[in-house]
Amino acid sequence: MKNLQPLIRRGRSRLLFKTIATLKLSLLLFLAGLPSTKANAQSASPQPQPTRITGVVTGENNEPLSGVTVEIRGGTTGTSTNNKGEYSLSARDSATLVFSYIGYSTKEVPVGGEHVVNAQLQPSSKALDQVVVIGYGTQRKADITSAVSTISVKDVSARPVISTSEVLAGKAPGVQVFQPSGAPGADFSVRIRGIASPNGAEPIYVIDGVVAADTKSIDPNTIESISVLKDAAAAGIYGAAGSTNGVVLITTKQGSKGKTRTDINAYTGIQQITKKLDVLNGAQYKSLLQDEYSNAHMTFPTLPNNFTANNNWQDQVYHTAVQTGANASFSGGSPKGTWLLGLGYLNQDGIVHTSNFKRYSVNFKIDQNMNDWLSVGSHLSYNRSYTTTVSDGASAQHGGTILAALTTPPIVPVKDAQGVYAANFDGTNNPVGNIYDNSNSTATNNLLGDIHVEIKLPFDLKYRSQVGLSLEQYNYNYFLNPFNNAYGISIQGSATNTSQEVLRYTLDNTLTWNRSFGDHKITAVVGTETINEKYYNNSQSGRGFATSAVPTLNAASSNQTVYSYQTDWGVLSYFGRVNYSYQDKYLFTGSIRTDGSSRVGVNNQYGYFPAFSGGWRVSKENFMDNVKFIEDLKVRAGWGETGNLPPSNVTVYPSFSSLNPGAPYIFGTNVSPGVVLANPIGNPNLKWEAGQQLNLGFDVTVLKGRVTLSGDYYNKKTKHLIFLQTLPATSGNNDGQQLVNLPGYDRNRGFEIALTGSVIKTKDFNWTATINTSFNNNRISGLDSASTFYYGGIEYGGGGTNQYVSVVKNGLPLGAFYGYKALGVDPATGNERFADLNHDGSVDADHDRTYLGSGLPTFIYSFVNSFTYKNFGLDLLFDGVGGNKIFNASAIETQGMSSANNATAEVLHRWEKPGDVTDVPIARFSDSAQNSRISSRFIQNGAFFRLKAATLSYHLSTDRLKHIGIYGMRFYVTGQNLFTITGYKGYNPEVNQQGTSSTALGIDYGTYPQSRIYTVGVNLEL
Amino acid sequence: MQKKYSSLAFLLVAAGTAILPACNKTIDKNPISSLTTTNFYQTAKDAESGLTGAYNSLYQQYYIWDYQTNGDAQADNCYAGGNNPDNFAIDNFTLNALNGNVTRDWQGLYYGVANANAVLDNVPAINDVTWNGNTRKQQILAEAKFLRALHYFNLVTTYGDVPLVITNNGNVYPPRTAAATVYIQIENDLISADSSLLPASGSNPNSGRATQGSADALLAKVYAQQGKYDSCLIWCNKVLANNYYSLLPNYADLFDGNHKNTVESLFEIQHGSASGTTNYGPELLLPFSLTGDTWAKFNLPTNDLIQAFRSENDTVRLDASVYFSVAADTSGAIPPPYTKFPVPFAYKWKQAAGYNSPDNQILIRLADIILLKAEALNQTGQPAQAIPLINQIRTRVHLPNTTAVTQTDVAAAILKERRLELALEGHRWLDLLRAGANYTISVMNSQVDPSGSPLNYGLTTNKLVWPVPQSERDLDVNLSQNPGY
Repeated sequence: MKNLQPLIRRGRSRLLFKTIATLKLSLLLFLAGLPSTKANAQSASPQPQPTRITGVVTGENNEPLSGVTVEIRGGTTGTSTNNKGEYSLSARDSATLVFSYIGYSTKEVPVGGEHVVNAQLQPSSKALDQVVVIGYGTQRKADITSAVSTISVKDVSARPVISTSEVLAGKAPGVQVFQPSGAPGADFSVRIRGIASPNGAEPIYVIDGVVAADTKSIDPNTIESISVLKDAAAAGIYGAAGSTNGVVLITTKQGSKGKTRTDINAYTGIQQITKKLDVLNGAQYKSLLQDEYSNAHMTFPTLPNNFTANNNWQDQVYHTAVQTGANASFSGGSPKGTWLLGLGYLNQDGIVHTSNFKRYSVNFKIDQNMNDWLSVGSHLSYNRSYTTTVSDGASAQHGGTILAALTTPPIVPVKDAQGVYAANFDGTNNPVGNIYDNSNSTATNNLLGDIHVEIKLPFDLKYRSQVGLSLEQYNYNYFLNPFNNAYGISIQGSATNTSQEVLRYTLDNTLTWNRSFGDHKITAVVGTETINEKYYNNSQSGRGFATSAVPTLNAASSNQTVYSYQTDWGVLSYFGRVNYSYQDKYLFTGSIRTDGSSRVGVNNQYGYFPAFSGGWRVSKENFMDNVKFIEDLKVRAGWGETGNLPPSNVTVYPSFSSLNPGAPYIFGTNVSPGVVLANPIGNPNLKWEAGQQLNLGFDVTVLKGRVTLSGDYYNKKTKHLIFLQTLPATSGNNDGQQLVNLPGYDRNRGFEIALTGSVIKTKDFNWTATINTSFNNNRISGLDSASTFYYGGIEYGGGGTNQYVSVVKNGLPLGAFYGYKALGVDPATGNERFADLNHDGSVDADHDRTYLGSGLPTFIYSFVNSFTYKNFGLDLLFDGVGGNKIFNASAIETQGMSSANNATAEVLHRWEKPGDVTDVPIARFSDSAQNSRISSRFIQNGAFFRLKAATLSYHLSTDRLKHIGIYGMRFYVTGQNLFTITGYKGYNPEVNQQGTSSTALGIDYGTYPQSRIYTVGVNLEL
Repeated sequence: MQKKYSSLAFLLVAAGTAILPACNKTIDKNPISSLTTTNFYQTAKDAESGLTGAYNSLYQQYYIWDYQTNGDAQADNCYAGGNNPDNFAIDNFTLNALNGNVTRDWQGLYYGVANANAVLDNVPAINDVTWNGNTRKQQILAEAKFLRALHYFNLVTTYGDVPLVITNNGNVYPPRTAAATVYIQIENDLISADSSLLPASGSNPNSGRATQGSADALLAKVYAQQGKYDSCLIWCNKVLANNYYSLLPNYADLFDGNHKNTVESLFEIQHGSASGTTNYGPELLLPFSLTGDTWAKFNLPTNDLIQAFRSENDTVRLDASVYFSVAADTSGAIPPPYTKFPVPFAYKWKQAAGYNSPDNQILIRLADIILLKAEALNQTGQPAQAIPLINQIRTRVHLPNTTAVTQTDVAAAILKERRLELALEGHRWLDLLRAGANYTISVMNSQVDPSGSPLNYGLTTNKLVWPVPQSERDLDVNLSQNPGY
């Protein structure tokens, strides 16, 4: 029996609903005269009068279901259940009620003269009934007309995840997940359908409805599901905030109504370097050095007396590292709301000594119905992390510690007699000194959250307002010991402290209208969004430390500098979308978004981004009734526009010309401060980069749902490409630079196929497998052929100046390597020969450099397997890429044979005397013939195939444990990067010294290598 | 009851959407930490700082030492010296469009133009109470115009036709403008500046600023360079009519580093010891004994120049201009093309101070204008009136009066007097050009090295102007090239 309070409430709500029903009717009359006239005509026929039917709709655990559509079969009227699962409508006794709800099987119940018709719905196992998050709303998978990939937590919960990249990797066609560096806590890169802009490859992330720059704020173990909006028809609703590269929508876990649950997951594991490279021993090194000096006609230097060691520095630098993690989540819910509290801990040592990543996370999610029309909710996710890094190729000259482990001669001792870390005779530090004398640590706070309110309005309208917040704050500390190495001694130590805060707050307001009448279903949403971001940076540094005991700047006595910088920007957007379906057969989606932003020129602040898509569920046609083996067949077509904001690394105020206040002059005897023109030069006409994408696709399900196949073809072109262009001096600045839109396109064209099948399905043994394959062809076209934009600077050989490895140039793909074409070693001279492409008799930079391949793969694939046998499970994830090259810049240092560096074993085959036929040129100090210039000599095939992850698990039968409160228990062992098949000669083919750059790809230069990981763990459900 | 709820809901919707119009500030942002053309140029103080920045352009390489390389090493006063191929190319007339000096002088001078333009673009709109009842705003604009004219004069005499950019808000890819049109702009700027600039005064706390005298003198030089000697004479007379200016009694005082902004100075670049105001030019010129540098120094006076001083017995000006380095005070390195000691070094700036010299650079001084007036008188058929002016200059350095009488002889006497009086101050190349292209070519092609061997420069008419830098032509497709490059 119900108590008094709900009864009163219900009375109130009935009154409300009655009013709403009347209003709805008038709206119908107003909006769509034809169907309602028809309905009137029907009700006018001589039949018994309809009576009022009420009821409650529940789920499998008797929990009330709200929002269930209740319709009269063959009729035009319908309603939906309220938050208590109650509905009320008028129907004749002979009518049949149809209850439909996303994610549940549709149920039909005859009224049969009853006044109360309750219904219990069963969840549907059919994939097509899955609800997919599509941005500012959800959609049934069957209704989707654009290219959307979904990843559910079930796909990943088989093993612990340290990074969000592991949740995404290999799970969706057309999505390449990439780990540029193996350093603990390093950023990962996601490329959806190639790279849509030279200014950025990364998609935008929307976490529980909040637009965020990355996923650092969430513990990846809290992810429930991910939708990847790949084409413009899907992503267009996110307009200009970078959606040209696609949108990744992340939904975190939430509690279930009527069920409390505790989940505990704990794991520990070890990591090892996947391989070590062969380097020269002491005798081989000395012989190399002799050759270098004699071939350069130089006197052999006197090596220090203490150079008698025999170190393989890789053994000094790498170790077997431990990682440990645990997660706990507590969740529950009442019929009126759900809640979840999550805690996480991770402590990951890196395979290089001292490197480490620690993360402490907490997240909280709550949704509550306050009454029939008002519900509120919030999601907050906070984590604090500590990252200790070693200087690697991304942060140090000469490639830092990783390269020094290869280039430091074996004969150099770790420490000299004075206890100072020994340097090579040319002054370069040894890697152990690099590790222990430099401390680089960062403490980071990440907070992401939202508070939202939903209000049910008359006319099936729903209003939602959400305030979102994303805060990334870090404090970086660097300290160089003043006593332990030559450089530290010379400057008496050094310290830097940098703190940075990026605060982003968003405000979303949406109004959703969801109606179905007869064969027509419409969902419409209109909304506004504002994004504001504020950036604060403070940095200080100093030298002159009297002690190594205090590594902070209060102990510095000289060279103190301070710096502080702030910026802010905003985006203001209006958007709308209509999803329409007719008879569940013909589907249409159209959306439009208008974005205005401070980050584009003041004369072009607003951009307009329309998108359309349509689908035809062929299998619903009558003529398909006889084609029994096809369960479902849908063809889709879509076109849309998306946008990119100008790159923020140059300026977020592109309209304004900068001035520099550091320009004094003397008048009389006074020094007056002056202001001069500086970079960049403002461009008030700067426009958005606009991406246009066509998508054609199909989804087919056969053999009663056992096999599904999806295929998509796409052609996306980004125009108004933004470059930082150098202007003539007459524009007011020496080498003055301005952000400009250049004519031309960044085009990505390709297709992707996802095939999923239940290969074997028996009582005890099951095997499901998914193959994802995608091909992408990237080209820059339409640019002025004379324009060359250089990226990927490598300061190789300690030359002090960057040598550029990559270009953006007309007719080439992004990530294009550009340099000389090496033709092999001249047996007569031992010098590398380079192609004289214009046959003018000399090899010069202006005429003889050419395209040498791209770091961007042209195809990516994955093979995902899940086996279960009784209580055992085995998950295998294979993946690979092809068509890409790697520029092995590390080899310039390890095979250049032009400095005091040690070398890798390849140089044992070096040219030594005229007539030698080999592919390794002469050893010569300082390389006067430039044998090590940027050339195809260092280009290697970047294709690989690997077993990315294998997890063996065992579910303990918990029937006998339930009485002590254990509902589930699972043990597992996981191996990651177990094997990699590749032609690449460096540590690992998944590498980029330039991190997540969209223009310089596949460059290995002392980059922190990936590791092989073995983990054991346990999952417990209480 | 239900009415209350629905109206509440509608209120919320209305409130939600009403937030938006107020959010235009979301997309109208101004930089916080960067100074830009929009948050600057608001006040009189900003105008002064912008103008100071325009003067700061006088610290760029062109005004540190390139004007001397171009004016003296390109001419017959100096050898390039040093070890820089770009400087050798200027000396030897083997310039091409890739030459680093060709590029940096173009860029530097246009940077100066742009900073002057920034003042002229933005200051007119500023209104500030501190300008009430005075003419400071007009003075600021006039000073900027003077600076712009100075840069354009150097551009047009170096490169010939050059893009005429008089606002920073115009065409980003301008073509070249005929030299005659550029000259008209220079004249207009200077004439319009002249009426607003302050006259020079001994008590001026703002010494270093362009004065009426600066503009008058520059106008005289601009007209002379175009062969418009009537106009030149007018502006020379205006300079000389100003009682403030007079020759320093002792020539050597001009270049001893202790006499800055003297009554002889018409426009002088101000250097000091404060950070950002020092002069690294002298370090590039002075020998080992004065700097401790062992590397080869630049712009070494030619044998021809030394002979010119010596044949005139002009010891005062030779001693003030040239330092003879002997074996005893060098580290042993002899800068090319000299092969034996004594080696003459440029010596009009005497303090190297480790690249931080406080020595000023005098761009225009009264002796220049006196001799220019003599030149104008002679060129307009009044050689007799020119002779006393030559003698005025010679008397100061204890030389006897000139013996020249005929117009031709007086012209030669003036040219020689200018050479000795203004040696190493960057004037010689333009003096030669005024004497005529053929004359310049014949003088230069007869130059010899220190051992007396012909240098065989092979100078042709085309090489009298520099090429337009290729890097700028790459950036601006509308830039044409001079013939011969």
